[in-house]
Amino acid sequence: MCNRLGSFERKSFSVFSESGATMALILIFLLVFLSPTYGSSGSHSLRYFYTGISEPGSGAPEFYRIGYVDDMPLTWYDSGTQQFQLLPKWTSKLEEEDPEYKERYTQIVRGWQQGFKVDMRTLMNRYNQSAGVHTLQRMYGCEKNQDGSTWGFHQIAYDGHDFLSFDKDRLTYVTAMPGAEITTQRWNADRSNAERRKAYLEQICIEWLEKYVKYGAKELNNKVRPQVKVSDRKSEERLITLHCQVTGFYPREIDVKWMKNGNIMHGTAAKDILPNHDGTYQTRESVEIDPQEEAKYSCHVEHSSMPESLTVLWEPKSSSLTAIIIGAIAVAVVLIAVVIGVIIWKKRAGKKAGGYSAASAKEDGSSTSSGTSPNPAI
Amino acid sequence: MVHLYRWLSLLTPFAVAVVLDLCSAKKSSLGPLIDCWYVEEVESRAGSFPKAVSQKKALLLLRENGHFRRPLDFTPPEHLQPGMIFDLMDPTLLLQDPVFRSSLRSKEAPSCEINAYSPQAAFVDWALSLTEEQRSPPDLGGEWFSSSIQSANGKFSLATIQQVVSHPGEDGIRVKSTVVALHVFTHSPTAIAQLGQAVTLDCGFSLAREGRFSLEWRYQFQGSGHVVYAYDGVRDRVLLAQEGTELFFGDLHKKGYASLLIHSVSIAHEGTYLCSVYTPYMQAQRGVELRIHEPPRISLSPEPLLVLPGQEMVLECAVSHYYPLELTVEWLRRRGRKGGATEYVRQAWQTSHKRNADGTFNITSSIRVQGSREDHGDLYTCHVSHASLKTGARKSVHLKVAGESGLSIDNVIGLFLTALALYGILKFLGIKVCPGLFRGEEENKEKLE
Repeated sequence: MCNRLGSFERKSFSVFSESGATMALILIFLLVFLSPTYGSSGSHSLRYFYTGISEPGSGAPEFYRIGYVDDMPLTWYDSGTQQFQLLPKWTSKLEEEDPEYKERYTQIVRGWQQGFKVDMRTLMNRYNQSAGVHTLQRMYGCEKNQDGSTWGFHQIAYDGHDFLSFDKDRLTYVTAMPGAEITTQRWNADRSNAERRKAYLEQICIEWLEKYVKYGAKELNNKVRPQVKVSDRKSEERLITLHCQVTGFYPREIDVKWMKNGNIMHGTAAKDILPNHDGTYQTRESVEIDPQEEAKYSCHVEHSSMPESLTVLWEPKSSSLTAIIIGAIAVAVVLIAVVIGVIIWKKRAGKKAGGYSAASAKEDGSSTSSGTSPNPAI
Repeated sequence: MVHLYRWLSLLTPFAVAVVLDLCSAKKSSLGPLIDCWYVEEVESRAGSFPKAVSQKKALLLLRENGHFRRPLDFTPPEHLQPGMIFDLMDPTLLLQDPVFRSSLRSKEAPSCEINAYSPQAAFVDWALSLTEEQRSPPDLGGEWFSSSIQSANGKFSLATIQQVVSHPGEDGIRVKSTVVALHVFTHSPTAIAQLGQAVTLDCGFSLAREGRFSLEWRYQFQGSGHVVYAYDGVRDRVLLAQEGTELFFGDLHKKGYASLLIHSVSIAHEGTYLCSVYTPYMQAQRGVELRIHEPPRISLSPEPLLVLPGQEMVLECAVSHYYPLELTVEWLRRRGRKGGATEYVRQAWQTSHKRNADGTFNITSSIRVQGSREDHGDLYTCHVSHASLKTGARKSVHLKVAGESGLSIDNVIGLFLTALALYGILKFLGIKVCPGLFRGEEENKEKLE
């Protein structure tokens, strides 16, 4: 926990597209992948992401909320349908147990939707913005680790900037945005509010998490083995980049590394773990090597779906072009050797035969020139 | 400072009365007036956003301390609502600081906001010792405000907490007279660094009333945050210090120099750093945004650009290890040897930005180059614009079409290198092994002549 709070681990993504539908997806993507990443297997998390957009474009709802248990979408609500939905099949057990659950949450989240609309207007007014596309986001959640320790967070962002963050352990609201100080000051003045928020994150959130994990145990603990592919590509200056492509695995946590003669190598590219369409993940680890160097390169993958780490050896295949070049050089060398051999032999034979004469020299000269004729350019 | 403040607060009513009589006819030096917004949250409570935010125009008077509480020697604008003129007395003298004053003098007006402030104890561990002794400090009553001033040139950002000492109407004065209790400021609200460099995030504070303080540096960026440095100034104890960061304790106590040094900047350091100073029941902060600008390395390949007549070649411009991601690559082509027309090459294509392990990016832009004889000598330039480069950066290469004048020797060397080497070997061997061979030829030549 301390390690996570103190660490600098962060991911950054670039966003190019601005169209409505993709924006909604990108916002979810940013929220999910910029939020703290979750620990090793055996730990579970429950996270909620809220997004409000002041001027929704085509396809993007004005307000939507998504809940995740671990990396699995759990709940969905958007201003279009205005219905709270439970996404995985296993949640039906939950509904059987509590038939009012869906309706109750539909009402609660509708209230959130209204609140977001008001808050958005307040903030636009606060920053003297009369129109334009603005976003208000909120995320909160909790995590329970194998050792029983818990962790929680609660954050609000306006136009992608950290408007308010809750430091649970210090019962303090923090802002990194000018103009939000009056809000943090007010929120910090009432300690009971911070205490309630802390209690939610440490108790209520954890209770719900445990409930979901119990119902979805089979699916949440489902593990999918990764597929590993090793490939090479020429990079600059006679070097080769080795890629170890790992895909189709679940859960998200994975360790992929290249080894040279059994020693870990430093990767050249960033270690991003990206989602596949089917809920599994993919990643790639790349290293740069000098093919002249005699070494054994192998990719090692460790994942909770496999009892032992998977090792894939990279085998350098001499390309057909290289083979042709090597062959050609060999032939040329043999030819030169033969030609030189012939000249030396002929000269020695000539010396033995007798002294120099203009005629013999002329004869020799002509034979030599024919001997060097493979190179007419001379 | 403490004495100065006490002295002034005791004597000012008398002093003002005297000054009023003596100088009412005289024009006093006004000092800077700053247009501000007085911003208030309407119907707000902890844990939720306010129902609305009200904004009123206000005026902050930064008069010389001797002019504090004097009557206004100008007519305030009519649109100001009552109570929206704040006179600020600064016993710390920070506001007399020439850097601050000159930053206010830039063409654009500084941005300024005034809010109501309520003194409250802080609960962070490093601020607890500030308030554990005093249970109910008598001088915390009354009205408090906080002002936030940012110069337009980006060279100064200030947060001030001030206490009201007299209201409009009292003493026949039309302004709210306030006295500074705490300033927290930075001379560089935005710091820019390259990877591996050391960077100092500037922050300072001045206290008007007493010396007790605690200091906190906090990092916040894209939804994640943590405390970087926490110092309890009462107990003189560092409670938290992230590896690779440093405070300057000598100047911290002596001069209120609270700057944070980061020894070696990496991409992960990018973000906003909040410098918070706690005094008993007060807290003010300034943010310093650390941006990383890593200039790109540029290389062209192939270099030299040698194309056979009638053939086509792809010229690549590899741009690597830059940060941030935003970057543009343009291709220029200058016709002819020198003095020819320069045009943009439009048909370029590029890879996506590939992220390196250190967080920097790489991109490659490519164009097709035709080996036509009339284009021989054209200059191709790859021009890169990036936040880290003031005027951009470029790499150029001349197109060499094989067989063109001035280059045939190069080409021959390039293309027939093996042949020449072979000739060399043969000649070397020939002279050594059969000296008569070439002599014979010479004799032949003589004969022919």
